[in-house]
Amino acid sequence: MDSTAILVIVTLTLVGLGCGLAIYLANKFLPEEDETLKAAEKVNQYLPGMDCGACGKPGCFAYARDVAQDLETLQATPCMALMNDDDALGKLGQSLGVDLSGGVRKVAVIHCTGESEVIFDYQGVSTCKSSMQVSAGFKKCPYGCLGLGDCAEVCPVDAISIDREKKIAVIDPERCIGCGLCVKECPNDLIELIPVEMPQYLGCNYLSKKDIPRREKCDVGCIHCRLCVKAAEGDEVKWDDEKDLPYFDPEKSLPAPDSIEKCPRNIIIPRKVK
Amino acid sequence: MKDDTVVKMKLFNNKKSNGVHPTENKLSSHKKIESTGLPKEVTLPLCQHIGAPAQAIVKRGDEVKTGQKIAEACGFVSVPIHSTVSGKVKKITKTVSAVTSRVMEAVVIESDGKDEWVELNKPAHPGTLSKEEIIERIKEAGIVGLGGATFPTHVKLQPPPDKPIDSIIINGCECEPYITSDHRLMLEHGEEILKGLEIMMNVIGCKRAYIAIEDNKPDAVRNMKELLSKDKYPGKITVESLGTQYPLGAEKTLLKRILGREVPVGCLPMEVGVVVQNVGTLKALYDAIYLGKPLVERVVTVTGMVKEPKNLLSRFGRPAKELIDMCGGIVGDADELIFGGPMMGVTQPRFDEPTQRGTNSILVKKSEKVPESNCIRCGACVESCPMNLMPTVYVQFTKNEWYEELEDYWIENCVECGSCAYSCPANIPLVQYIKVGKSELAKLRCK
Repeated sequence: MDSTAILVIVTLTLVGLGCGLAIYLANKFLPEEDETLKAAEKVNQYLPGMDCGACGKPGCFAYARDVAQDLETLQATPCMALMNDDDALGKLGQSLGVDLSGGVRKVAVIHCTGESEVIFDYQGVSTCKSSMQVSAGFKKCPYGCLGLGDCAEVCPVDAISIDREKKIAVIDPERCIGCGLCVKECPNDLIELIPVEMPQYLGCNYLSKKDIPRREKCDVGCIHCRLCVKAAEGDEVKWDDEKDLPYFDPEKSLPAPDSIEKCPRNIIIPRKVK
Repeated sequence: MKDDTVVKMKLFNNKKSNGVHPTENKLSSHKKIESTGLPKEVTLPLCQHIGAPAQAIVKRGDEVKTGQKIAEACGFVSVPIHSTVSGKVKKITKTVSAVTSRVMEAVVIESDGKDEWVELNKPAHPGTLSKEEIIERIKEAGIVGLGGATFPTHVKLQPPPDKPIDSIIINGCECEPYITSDHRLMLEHGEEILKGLEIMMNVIGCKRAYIAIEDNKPDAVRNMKELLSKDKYPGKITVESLGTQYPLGAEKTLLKRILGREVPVGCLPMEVGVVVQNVGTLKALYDAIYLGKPLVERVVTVTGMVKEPKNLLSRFGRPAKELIDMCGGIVGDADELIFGGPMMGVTQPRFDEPTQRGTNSILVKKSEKVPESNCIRCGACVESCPMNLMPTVYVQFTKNEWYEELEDYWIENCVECGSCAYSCPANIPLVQYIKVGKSELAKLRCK
C-alpha cells in the first residue's frame, strides 16, 4: 500500500478519535441546556407561529423567550393573535401556572364603505401612501379607503382582500387574528380593532364639518345629522365632537338597532355576532 | 508637493454640481405679459405659503374690497391672505390643497365686477421708512417667495443676529422647462426688480448682490446689465450669466455655483450668510412699498398643449380653466393639468382648480402611462443628483418600509427636483417614493 494512503487513514482516525473525546468531555463537564431556552420552547408551542412581527419582536420564538423571562411582556407588547385565541391562552396559563384569562378578542374593521367616486385616473406608484401624496387621493372623499392594498400587503393571514371595482379593502372577520399590523399601515387611519362582540360599527370617516367643494361627500357618507344619537335609548351611541361622527363605546359593546335603522345613509353597519 | 495638494483640493471644491438638460420648450418667451381682467369668482385657500395656515376674519355674506385682508397670519412663519376681487363672500368651505395634499379652509368670493380697492398704505419712498416699518409692510402685504416654494419673505429679511448676511442672490434662472414668467418680468419690469433689490439690501444691510440668470435668456441678461450700468451703486450688484442646467434655480445649487458655499443639512441658506430671492418676489416687494399694494396677482405662464401659449397677469384664486380659455383653449387630446413646470410641478385633479400664490405656470399636456420596471442599479440617478445624494437607495428603503434608515442617507437634503426620475432608464418615479419616505419619516419623528 501507498505510504500516503496509510498516512491519510491514520490522521483521519486520530482526528475522529479526538473529536469524539471532545464531545464526551463536553457532555460530561459542561452545564446543561439553558433553563430559559427550555421555558421559551414551552411558551413557543402556544404562540401562533406565523412570525408576523406585530408584537415588535423578530419572530414568535424571540417573543416566547421574552415572555419566559418576564411575564409583563404579555401586557406591554401583547401578541394580539394569542390574546384572541382563548384556547391557547388558557393552555399557556396552565403551563405557566398563572391565570391569563380575561382578554377580549378583537378584530379589525374598516371605517369606510368605499362608495366615494373616483375623480381622476391615478397613474403613479400603486400604494395608498403614494397616492395620498397627489391631492389627498383619487377619490372624491379625501378621508376614505383608496383600495390600493397597503393593508392587505402586511396581513399575515391574508384576511384582507381588495374589491377592485369599488377600490376598497374588505376584511374577513373569520380569518382576522387581530394582530393590528394593518392599523399602523393605513395612511388615513381607517382601520380599528374592535371587540368581536361589538354589534355594529360606523362605515365612515368623514372628518370635515363642512363640505369640500368639488369634492362633495360620497353618496353614502355621514352627513352629521345625529339621528343615530336621537334614536338611541340609552348611551349606546355617543357623539364624538372632535371627529364630528357617532361613536360606539367598545367597553360596553351595546347593540343599537334603532340607530342602524334610522341612519339615512345606512352607514352604521351591523355585525353578525356569534 | 504642497502646491500639488492645494491644486487638488481646489479641483475638488470646484466640482460642478450635477443635473440634467431637459428640452427647454420655452414656448412663450417672446410673448409680452398680458393683463387678464377680473375673474367672476375666486377661491382663496387660507394656506398658500409654507408655514401655519392663516385664520379667516370674514364671514359668509361680508362685502369685501380688492386688497382687503380676509385672513390673519398665525405665528411668525405665516402671512395674511387678501381678497383679490371686490364683492361678496359666497362661502367659507374646505378644500384639498393639491400642493400639500391636506384639507384646509378656503374663502370663496363672488366678484361684483367693480374692482374697488381697499384704502391702501400710502405709497412711500423706502428712505423715509424705518427697517421695522418696511418689514411690517412686507408682512402685511402677504409677500411670499414667488419662485414656487412660497416661503414668507419677511422671515428671510429677519435673520437671527448671530448669522450676518453678506450677500443676496437674485434668482432669475428659471431652469424649469416651459416657464417664462420670470424671464418676462426681467425684460419688462427690470427697474422695479432693481428697486425691490435695493430695499432688500438696505433692510438686511448687506453689501453684495448677484443677479443669476441662465445663459439661455441673453436678452434678460442684456437688459439687466443695461439697467445696472445706470445704477447708482456701481460694483455692488453684478449680473451672473450661468451655463444652463437643471436644477440651477434651486437655491442650494445656485448658491454653490455662484459663491461655492454649501448649505448644511436641514438648514436654510441663511446659515452660510446668504439670502436667495426670486425676481417675482422683488417685483411684489416694490409694489408693496412704492405703491402700497398687497400681493393679489402674479404672472402665470400658460403653456403646453394650448393654442397660443401666453404670459398672463392673473389674480389669485382664478380657476385655471379660465386662463387656458384665454389662450385659445386646449389643443388635441391633452388631459393633464400641472401647476408649475414638468419637472417639479404638481398634477391637479381638475381643470378648474384655482391658481395660488406659488402657481408660476399652468402646463397642459397629455398624460402618458409609462410602466415602472426594476432598478438595474445603473447609478444614473446618483450621477444626476444635484445634491450628491443616492436616490436609488431611498426607493429601496421606502419600498421595504425602512424609514429610519432614510435619515442616515440625508434624505432631508433632497430638493425633489426630479433629476433622478428624469434620468432613470427604468422609469421609476423616484420623487414620489422620496416624498412618501419623507412624510413617513416625519410621522415617525412625531411619535
